[in-house]
Amino acid sequence: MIKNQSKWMICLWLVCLISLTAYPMIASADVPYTTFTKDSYNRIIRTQPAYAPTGVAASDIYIDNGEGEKVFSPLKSPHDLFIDHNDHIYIADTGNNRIVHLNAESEFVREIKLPESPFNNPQGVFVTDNGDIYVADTGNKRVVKLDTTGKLQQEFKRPDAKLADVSLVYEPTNIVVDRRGFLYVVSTGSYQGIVELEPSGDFYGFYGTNATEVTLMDRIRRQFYTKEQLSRQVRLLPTTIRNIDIDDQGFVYTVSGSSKEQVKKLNIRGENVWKDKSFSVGFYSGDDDKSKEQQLSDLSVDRDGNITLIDKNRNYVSQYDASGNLQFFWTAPPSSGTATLGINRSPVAIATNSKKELFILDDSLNLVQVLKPTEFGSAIHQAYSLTQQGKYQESEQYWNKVVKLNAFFSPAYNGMAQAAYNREDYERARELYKLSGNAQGYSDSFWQLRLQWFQQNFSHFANLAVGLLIAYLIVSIIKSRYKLKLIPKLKWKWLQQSLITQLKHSFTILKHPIDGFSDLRFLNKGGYLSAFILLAGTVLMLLLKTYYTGFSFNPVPVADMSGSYIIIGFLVTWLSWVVCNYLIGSIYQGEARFKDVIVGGAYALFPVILLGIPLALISNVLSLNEASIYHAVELVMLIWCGLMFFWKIQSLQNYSVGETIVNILLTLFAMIIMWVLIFLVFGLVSQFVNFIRTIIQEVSM
Amino acid sequence: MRAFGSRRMLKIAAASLVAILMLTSLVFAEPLANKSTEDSKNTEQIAEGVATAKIASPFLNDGKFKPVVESKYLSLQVNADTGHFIVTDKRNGNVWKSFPDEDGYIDAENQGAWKSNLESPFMFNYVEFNVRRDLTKESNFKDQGGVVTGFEVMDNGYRLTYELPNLGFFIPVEVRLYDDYVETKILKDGLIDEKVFPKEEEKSEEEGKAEKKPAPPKDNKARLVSVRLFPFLGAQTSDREDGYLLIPDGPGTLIDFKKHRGGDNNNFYSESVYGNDWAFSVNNSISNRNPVKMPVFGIKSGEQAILGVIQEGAEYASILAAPSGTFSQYNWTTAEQNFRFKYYVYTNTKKTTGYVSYTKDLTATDRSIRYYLIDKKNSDYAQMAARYRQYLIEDAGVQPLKAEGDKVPLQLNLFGADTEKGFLWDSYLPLTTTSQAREIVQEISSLGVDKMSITYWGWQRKGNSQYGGSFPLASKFGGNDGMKQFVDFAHSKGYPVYLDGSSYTYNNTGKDGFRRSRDGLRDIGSAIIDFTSWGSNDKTTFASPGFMEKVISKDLNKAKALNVDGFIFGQGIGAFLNSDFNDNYSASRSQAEQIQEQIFQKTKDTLGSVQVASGNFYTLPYVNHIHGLYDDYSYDMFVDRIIPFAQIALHGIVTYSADFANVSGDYQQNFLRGIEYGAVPSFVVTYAKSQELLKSKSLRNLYSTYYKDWLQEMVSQYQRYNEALGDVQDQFITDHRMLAEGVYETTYAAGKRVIVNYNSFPYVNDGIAVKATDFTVIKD
Repeated sequence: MIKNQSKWMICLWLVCLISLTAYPMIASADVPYTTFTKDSYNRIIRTQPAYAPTGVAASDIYIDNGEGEKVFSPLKSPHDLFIDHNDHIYIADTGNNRIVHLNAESEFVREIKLPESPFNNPQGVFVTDNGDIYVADTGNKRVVKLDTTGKLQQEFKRPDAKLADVSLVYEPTNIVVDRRGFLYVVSTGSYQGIVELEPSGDFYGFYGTNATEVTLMDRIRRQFYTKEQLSRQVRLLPTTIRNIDIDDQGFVYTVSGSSKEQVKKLNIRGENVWKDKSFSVGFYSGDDDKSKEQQLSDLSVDRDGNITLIDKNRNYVSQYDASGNLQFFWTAPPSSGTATLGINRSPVAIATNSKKELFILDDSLNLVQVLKPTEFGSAIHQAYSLTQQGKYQESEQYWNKVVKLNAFFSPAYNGMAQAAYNREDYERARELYKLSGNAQGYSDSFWQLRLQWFQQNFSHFANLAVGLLIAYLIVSIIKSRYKLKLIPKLKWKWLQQSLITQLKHSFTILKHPIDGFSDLRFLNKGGYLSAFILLAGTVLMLLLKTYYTGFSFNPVPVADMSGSYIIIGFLVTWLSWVVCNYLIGSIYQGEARFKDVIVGGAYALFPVILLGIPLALISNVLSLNEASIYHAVELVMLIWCGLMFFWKIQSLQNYSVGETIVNILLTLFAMIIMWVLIFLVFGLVSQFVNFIRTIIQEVSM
Repeated sequence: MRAFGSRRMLKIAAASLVAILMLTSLVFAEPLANKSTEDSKNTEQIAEGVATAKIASPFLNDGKFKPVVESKYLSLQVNADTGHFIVTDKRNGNVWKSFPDEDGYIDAENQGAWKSNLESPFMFNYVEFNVRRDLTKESNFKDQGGVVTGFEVMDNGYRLTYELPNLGFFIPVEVRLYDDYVETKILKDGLIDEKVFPKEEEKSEEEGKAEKKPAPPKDNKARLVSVRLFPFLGAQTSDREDGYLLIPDGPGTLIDFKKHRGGDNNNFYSESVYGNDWAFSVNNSISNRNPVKMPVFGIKSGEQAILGVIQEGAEYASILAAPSGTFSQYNWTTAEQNFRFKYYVYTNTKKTTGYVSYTKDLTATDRSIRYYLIDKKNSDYAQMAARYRQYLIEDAGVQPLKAEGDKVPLQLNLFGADTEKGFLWDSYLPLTTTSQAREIVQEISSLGVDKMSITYWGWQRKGNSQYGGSFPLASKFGGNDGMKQFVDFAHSKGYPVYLDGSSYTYNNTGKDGFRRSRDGLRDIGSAIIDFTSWGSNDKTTFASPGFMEKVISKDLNKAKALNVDGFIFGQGIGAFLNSDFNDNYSASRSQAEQIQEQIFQKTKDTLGSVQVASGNFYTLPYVNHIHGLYDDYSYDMFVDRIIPFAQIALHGIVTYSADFANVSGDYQQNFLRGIEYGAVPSFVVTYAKSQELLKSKSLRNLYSTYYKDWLQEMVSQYQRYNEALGDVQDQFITDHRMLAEGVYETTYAAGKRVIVNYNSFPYVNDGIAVKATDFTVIKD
């Protein structure tokens, strides 16, 4: 245990060092957490904080003890937090069986205890625009509706058993109420979904039920198990809904512990609008404790539809825009014990007020952390919000501000590009789309530019076409009349030399593959040198192709295209293919010598050399609308190359078609085996070396 | 009235009982100590049974304190049985005690060991190597049945040895009285922490077992880890809520005396002075707090205030503070002196397995703390900081600033170059070449910025992230000649030029004759300390301080040939302080500090001046400017106020700037803080557009540096800073206070007041009006 902890500390310490030194110049006495966002290439990048901690609320509640004395009365394992439209704060103070009401300045106003029918572990609270307070009174298995003064108005007990599922556990933990007065009740462990109640308290139906998550093993079991065995299995149930919120338009948002659709935005019919979005996934800040799993506990929707999510287990707060795209997330390395402003220990509920300040309720610290958007954060909110509404021109000034504050925040370039595209400044849009890494946008602007170019130069094209036509006619007339040889046959001496012949042979192979490959061996039309040149040519071509392919088809920043990976990846694959193919051939009645396999393997790559550059070139003049052309050519290249390999084996090993197929499959199999063996040997050897070293070290100590 | 009277009677009765018991416990070492605590428990029960839960505290001044010495302003009384003392300030009658104040003591709120901790003259930690080598035990003088021996009055104080017979520890202590401060000192001579177990006894142990005699005590190898001497000097309960603790976090923060605190009650500040020592790779716990740069702490209670300054052994000390409710009922802050350090003993070469242990050898140096009694009757942190400033000038050898004109300079930081990740290979990425730098300076200057201090970063031959082999400068950058021309140009305009020298901390190129295994910093397990930065495979090694000194000495002349005005150090030179266990250069933490100071001195001698970034305060005597002086704290929830303690102490003796304005978390806040704290505006810019930096390997947090984007801001900040601070550059800050929530006033020696309003609404009061998020200047 101690050892484990120490190991963990070592890791942490290293991370501290790294973060200290990776940014040498900055003193950085900033907020205690680090804010990140994802750029358009899905890379996690650091930004300055979007929110800054301003303090805590509900940490100094003093109530009147009836004798005129003020008594300190802190929260006790509170569960929920709600902010009404006047920015007043209501906290379900579960452990103290009360609702705490704070005003917009976070000052204590009153506690609501409902003495005539006391609460028992109330876990949820909701306040409507007209001031009605709904409390999920979990321990009493009811929801109560109170008026503004805190008087009991209505009780919502378990709905009629005839209507509701008999198995329904009705222990309300949270509620929202929509404009019509319908209640959406989250109940402990209710896999059936949200219980929707009519204003009268009658059961209306289940709402927003999650899908059952079925793993592959479950499917296999279902196939093979008998009915009896299946009945003994633990029943697969949908994941439960953890928390709920509602926005001004009546969309209901739910948070669940599922691995997909963690957050749902439900319309009035209970359909999820955000089916294909994922939330709080793939975050990595460099100092995560990997043993901790994500456990989203609550979300909050602000008035612009931005949602903020908290994770009870891992200290992440993340924010998404109104269409479910990540804006930022922030986190801090696990703190060493004492409570830090802005760092959550066990966040259970979150709410946003009209000033976009975040209030995060912590049931371990028993207080509310308050964060307010920074200049950067609010500029991004405004910009996103305007872009969302299609007000591209208005959004531009905010995007400009964002970029000025952080030139690396690439989503901003996307926003600016949209604005530029919108005012038909396609050149600028293209540049900006490239900066933001948006291939589709880049391609669209390019399409527009190309169209403009064609339109402008149409007359030139027409003239050129006419000119060419005339020239062609004249030439053909002259040719037919004088029988001129326009291109004299070149017969240079060095052309005769063997290397050139060998290289020229690759063209022959293209035309007559079967004969060509056998000529390689028997007429000595290929050698190691020519094979090496062709191989080098292929590598070069692959590099050129990667480097020069247009942005639309290869939206990767130059720094992330690593030439060495391409070279090594290609050579290793090719080499292991050659070796395995030779080995398989030699035990499978093949006739090829090792030299033939190498030389043939190099010649078979010729289509790549031939088509690589043209492919890269056309990718620069095509937009994604014509992607099919590009992909067709690419496919032709690959198929051709594949066929060449096929013919190579067939011809050099002297196989029938069937034998060739078997040979290829075996070669692939052998390659896998080879690599498994290599890794195995490598791993064992390094373990062994380490073992010996440790022994030596220990003996010498 | 009657109730009060009886309570007081009871108080006195219980107190005298406890006092008598204490005395007996001291005389009859341990066996009776247990009994005495039992007895005192009984008295508690009786007391509780009879009257209210409140009983007297055990620290009553019981007449055992005898006056020993007097100084100009102070007089000292001491209790020879415990070594506790009481200091009285003759100027104002303030009284300070080396034990907690009895006012507001509630027995039930100080439980268990903390009760005896509160009474003891010192607390300590020790490790028992034969039991658990990775865990320390906390104990105190009283629980160990300690005795005072060799009590001796000297001409300005007294000396004694604390003896802990059970563990065999002898801790010699001196307390001396000076004009306006008391100095407590743990002496290295005579400090013994090994109990001698005679050989015969060990033998007889074996025999004894055979003969079934009672076994003599086993040697647990108890060794001293740390000592907190007089930890509760000036400690107060939160009964009156009229004071605070001052801790050196960031610019300085205050923890108010509060009866109730929200959150959990786990509020403890414990940070090593000058940050963690990397040579002990597992330090007690990983701290996310700012490292402590200045070895000070303080307490204000009621109308009096005291400032603690660690004089000797600061590099081995930690500063602790705990508000009431955390361990006991008391608010206290102190310095803990560490003598042994925790580290991780690796058992394999990959550094993946091992165990935690404490160092075998005792780090024996003198450890002294000065407690300055603040003169003013109603003193506040501004006076405490002023006393610290006086200390810096009189005792630490810092020269006050001489005014050069009445303009605040603009700190212009230019970023030279870095390495770019390429398709096939990495290449040099110039961001601001010397000729471009000239263009930038020319442009800013033409906009009316006539005082500037230029710092060049990333000027090294291979750019920012390639450490080692700084000279000659890259030709793409402008080469040595280009740099010289630029420097001459800047000088012709009157702007000094500094080069970043913090990069000498590392080496990852093998240049400068660096060999990792020979010249790298080594931790206590002899492992070389290096790291891999984000998204790259290159290993960067920390150079040994001794090696750094060698390289810098060589490069100083090369820098001199370029006419530059100085280096700006930081990181491994002035900001991080690490022991080095590399046999070629081995240096203890104190020696490493000396090496750093030598580097500063030598640079100052050769080039004329030197600066530091986020420097520890021992660099103050050498530098003329501090970059990146903290202006924000570590966001501990128990901290109630953040104050410019460091800035009040430094203004007028050295200039300072905080984060670069253009890449700080919040531009507006950075600016207003700068004005409030009397800083200097600072920007970091490049000639290349900001997006170019994304290509670089190490500059991903310089979010926005394109100089054209920031021209306007640079000029306006320069003007606004000068409006507020131009004519008070060489003046001390005499007062600083909060006028209203979010409104602060800073007063300078000549009476100029700067009022800053952080709120989003205007501030109007007493005829003073400050616009929202703005400041105003009032001249008397």
